[in-house]
Amino acid sequence: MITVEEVTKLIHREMRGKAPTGIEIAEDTKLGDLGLSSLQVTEIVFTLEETHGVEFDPARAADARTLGDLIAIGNEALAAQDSA
Amino acid sequence: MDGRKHYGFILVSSLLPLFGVVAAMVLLWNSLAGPSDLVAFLVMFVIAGLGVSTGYHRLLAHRSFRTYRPIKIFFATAGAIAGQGPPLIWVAHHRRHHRVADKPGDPHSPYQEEQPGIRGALKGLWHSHLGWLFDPGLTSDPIRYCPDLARDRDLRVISRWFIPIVLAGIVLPGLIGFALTGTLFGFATGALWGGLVRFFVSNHITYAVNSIGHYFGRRRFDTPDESRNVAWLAIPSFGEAWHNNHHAFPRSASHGMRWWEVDVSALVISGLKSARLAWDVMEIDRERQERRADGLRKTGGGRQGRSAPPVPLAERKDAVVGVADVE
Repeated sequence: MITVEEVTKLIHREMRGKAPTGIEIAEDTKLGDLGLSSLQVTEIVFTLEETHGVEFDPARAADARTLGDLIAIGNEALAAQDSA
Repeated sequence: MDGRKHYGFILVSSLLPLFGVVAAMVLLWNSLAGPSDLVAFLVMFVIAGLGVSTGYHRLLAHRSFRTYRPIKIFFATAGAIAGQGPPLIWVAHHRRHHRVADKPGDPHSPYQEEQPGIRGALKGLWHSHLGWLFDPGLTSDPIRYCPDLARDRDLRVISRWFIPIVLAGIVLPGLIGFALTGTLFGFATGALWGGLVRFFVSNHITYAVNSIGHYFGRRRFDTPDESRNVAWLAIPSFGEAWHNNHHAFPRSASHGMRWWEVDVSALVISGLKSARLAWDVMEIDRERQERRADGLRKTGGGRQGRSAPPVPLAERKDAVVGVADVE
């Protein structure tokens, strides 16, 4: 199961310890508001893939707007893998 | 890098090498350039040139051949040294360029917002050469365009360490200069020639493939874009300038398609293949070339030409992006 805490940790790693100012990271946080570059979001998505041994649907992951969207795509893929 | 940092990087990485060229000219004028500088320049020019051409372009963006992990890491690092961007970003822009070449959405077409007259033409050429990199809205999402490469941890690491690798590419020729002369002055001029001057020359050659290579030159294939074969650019670009051939057969390991179309990068790949260090090399025989040329002649080419699918799958919200669709 991918959690908000886990993704928050990855976001902080990408930001090199500099927390995004004035934004509390939660499920409804928009990825665009975090000030992450496309490369940093890529790093987060594919690190999650590697840690959980799962493949995100790239087209859907690219369209994800909030943190929650992204986590849902990952967890759906995990669930599909478990039931298979 | 977010928008502002990106702008800053492009500004520094295009102006600093230019100042370097001016400084090098002054030194040259005063006979303060030696053989060690030439060696530093040539070694770094070849590393950066092959890194972009053989590595970023043919190995990563188009998967024209396969190779062992250390060789992949070498070419991807060499490509990063050239300073044109992290591999994942470079490839994302490039695959998008192919999907919509010279049509709306192409990150670096000289025909974007086409305006009449010589001024309009120059504006277009500037945009496709370097101007596009200053576009604040420029973004090609690696998740969408190169998930295959983003799944490779080596390429993510190289992308993350892009700037230190670029800087190492300036220190390295300094070390060559120091090794050959034993002086700090040799270090400084080595870094100048092999670092900054090389950075300038080699990047403007790549940019010229995007600008001149879509404007002036011959077209063997009526591809649905304006790509051109530019013979005089072939050798310094390591074969990249056979750009019309490349748009007709993006995955081909060789962009040169006749014996006289010199393609250094293709020679490197076939050398690797002979040494059994590369396999699954994409080779296009003459018959297939002729068939494609005939087919394209019937449909008609140029930027008004039809391209299939009309809207690239990669740009459509409802479509699943396959790797084959974006390369």
